Amino acid sequence: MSIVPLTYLKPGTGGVIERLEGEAAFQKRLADLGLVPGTPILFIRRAPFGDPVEIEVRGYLLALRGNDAKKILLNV
Amino acid sequence: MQKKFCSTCEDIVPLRIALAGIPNTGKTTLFNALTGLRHRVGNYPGITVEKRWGSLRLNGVQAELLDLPGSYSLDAASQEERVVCDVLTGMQNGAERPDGLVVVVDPFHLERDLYFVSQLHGIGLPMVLAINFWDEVRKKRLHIDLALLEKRFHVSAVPVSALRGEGLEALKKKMLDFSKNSSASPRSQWVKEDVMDAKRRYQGVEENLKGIVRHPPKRDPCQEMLDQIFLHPVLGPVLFLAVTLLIFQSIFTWALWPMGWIQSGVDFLGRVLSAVIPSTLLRSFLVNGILAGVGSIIVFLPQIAILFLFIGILNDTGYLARGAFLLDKLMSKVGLNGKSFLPLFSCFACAVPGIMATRTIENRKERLVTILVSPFMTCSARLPIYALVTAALIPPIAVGRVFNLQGIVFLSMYLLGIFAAMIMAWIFKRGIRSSELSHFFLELPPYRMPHWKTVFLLVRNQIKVFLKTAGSVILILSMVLWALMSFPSHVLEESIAGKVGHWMEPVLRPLGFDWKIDVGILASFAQREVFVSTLAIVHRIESTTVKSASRDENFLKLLQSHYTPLVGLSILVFYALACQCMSTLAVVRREAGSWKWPIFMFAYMSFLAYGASFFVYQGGRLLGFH
Repeated sequence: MSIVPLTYLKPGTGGVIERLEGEAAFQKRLADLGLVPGTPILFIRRAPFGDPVEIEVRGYLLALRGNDAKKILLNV
Repeated sequence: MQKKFCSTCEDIVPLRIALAGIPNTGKTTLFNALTGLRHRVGNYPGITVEKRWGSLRLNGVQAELLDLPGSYSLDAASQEERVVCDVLTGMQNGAERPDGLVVVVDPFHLERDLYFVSQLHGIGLPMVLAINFWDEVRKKRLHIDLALLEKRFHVSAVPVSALRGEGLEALKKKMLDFSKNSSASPRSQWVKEDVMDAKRRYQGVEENLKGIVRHPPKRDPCQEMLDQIFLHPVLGPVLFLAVTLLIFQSIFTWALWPMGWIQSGVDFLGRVLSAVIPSTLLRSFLVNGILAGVGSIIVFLPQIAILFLFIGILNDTGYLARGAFLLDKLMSKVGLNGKSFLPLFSCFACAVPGIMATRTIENRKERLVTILVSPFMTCSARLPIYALVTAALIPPIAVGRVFNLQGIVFLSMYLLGIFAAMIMAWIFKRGIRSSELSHFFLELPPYRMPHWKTVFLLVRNQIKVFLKTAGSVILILSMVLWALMSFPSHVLEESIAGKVGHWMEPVLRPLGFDWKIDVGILASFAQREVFVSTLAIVHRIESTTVKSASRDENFLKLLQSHYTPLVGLSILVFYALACQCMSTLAVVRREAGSWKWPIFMFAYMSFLAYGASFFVYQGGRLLGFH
């Protein structure tokens, strides 16, 4: 078990959210989208030009930029 | 019909029902299915959030359904989401607190959607859930125990398929119950929550959902296969380029056919009016004031209709989100996001539909920045000017073996526009303050077949919005310009416009422009290409149409004898950068919500155009050109 930023994952692998970083409003938005500590996440792919990244969370697909994704720390 | 209802039953207040839901749950489709064609569009007072409402009858009871913007949470991250919270708590200007609430829920994302529902519970409005896509639920053999869901979440739930019109009657029946609980629930406020509150809410939802959903389907392999094609590192961008070119082709060339018919129709009507009305002033007013104004409005309709037909289809199928995902990296370099691409690209045809298409950008600041730079894209109305000026004033010198100076200058004007847009977007991104989060969250909805009624209603809506708001401004300004060019004399030089041209001369002289060019610039404010015909009129060239001007040898020779290539270049640079288009400004006012932004846009672009032309003309003279 180790804690890594979401951006460290390889396509097809996943982890469970350990904690969120960044400003409070940003964290709250992530939480509203279903990304709260304890939520499992699957890393799907990077966009063709390397950014943003696509993840699967709570049964839907969400894209976010690497800069934001690295503030999501996962337990893998 | 609407009017009749209002005049006869003025004292009967219709049942007010709001429709809420997370984006991509089929809320718009359900709204259309419930209200049919009877809906209206406006803005909430003072802000740019679109307000859509429509009427429906519930077993004889008149009701009004308000379509709230899509929202993920009552803790608003955008102006749209703030409206949802404010309407439901009765704090919103321009909308009364509803009597009841219908929440559209996607059965495939129950956790996320019921999280929002659990927030809405706290608001204290009677509520019913419309569990959408029920046909897909059956097809995929997903089992949802609705009775248990109703019991655990203390809310009634109706399975519907907005697309197929299933379950609407049952839903309407439940909506009718809102009129019974008329014991108005106490107005409650929404108290902001933090991450820990959200975590607790989600845990509660997960706990309650246990045993309700059985056989949740894995993600459809077909869906994943489509993503592997459309988001493939090489194939993805290639396909996107192909789609973009198809749209470009259709608004740039196919739309020209109906636009040509409209133009011929307007011209024909003008000739008929000229034949029947003898009086010169009245005739001139009708033909050159009103008819020309109306013509310049309706000529946009084919491009707007085609562009929104495509946007509607792309949005409905889920591809629009994929396009934004593909391009975000490139667009973010200049401070825009992936969703800015299609609107900006459309501006190569015309900035008016392009700016209207910026509605797909949720983030207000990024939408504003996109709008502010969109007129830099070389629109089709600039082409007649470029064609005339390059043909007349830029010498056709061969450059290398293949190229020609005229072609290079023409292409440079396109590149100059794109370059200016990138620089200004970069500056605005840093210069405009915003209270909204600037993070980029994009849901990639499942691929679905487009729903034609939704697409058709979108096109119809956009046309109505354009005619109502931009149309009136364009018409008034057309009449004002006509008056300027017709009084006190209809000889152009002696008219107010001619005099203004003379007054403008000292100001524009440093750019190499004489008063004749100045009159052309003034007149072209109605439509850029009018510059060509006005220039012909002030040079006393008879019967030169915009189309034939750049091939009229006499006109070209006359221009060559009057102006140098350097003046030509200065004119081109001026038109590439200036916002010489009142239709654009009228649409910006509509989309940005106040006159502040179109005035700012006109000012900064004029300033930029003046500076660049000054630099080109004076710099050229210093280098020994003239």
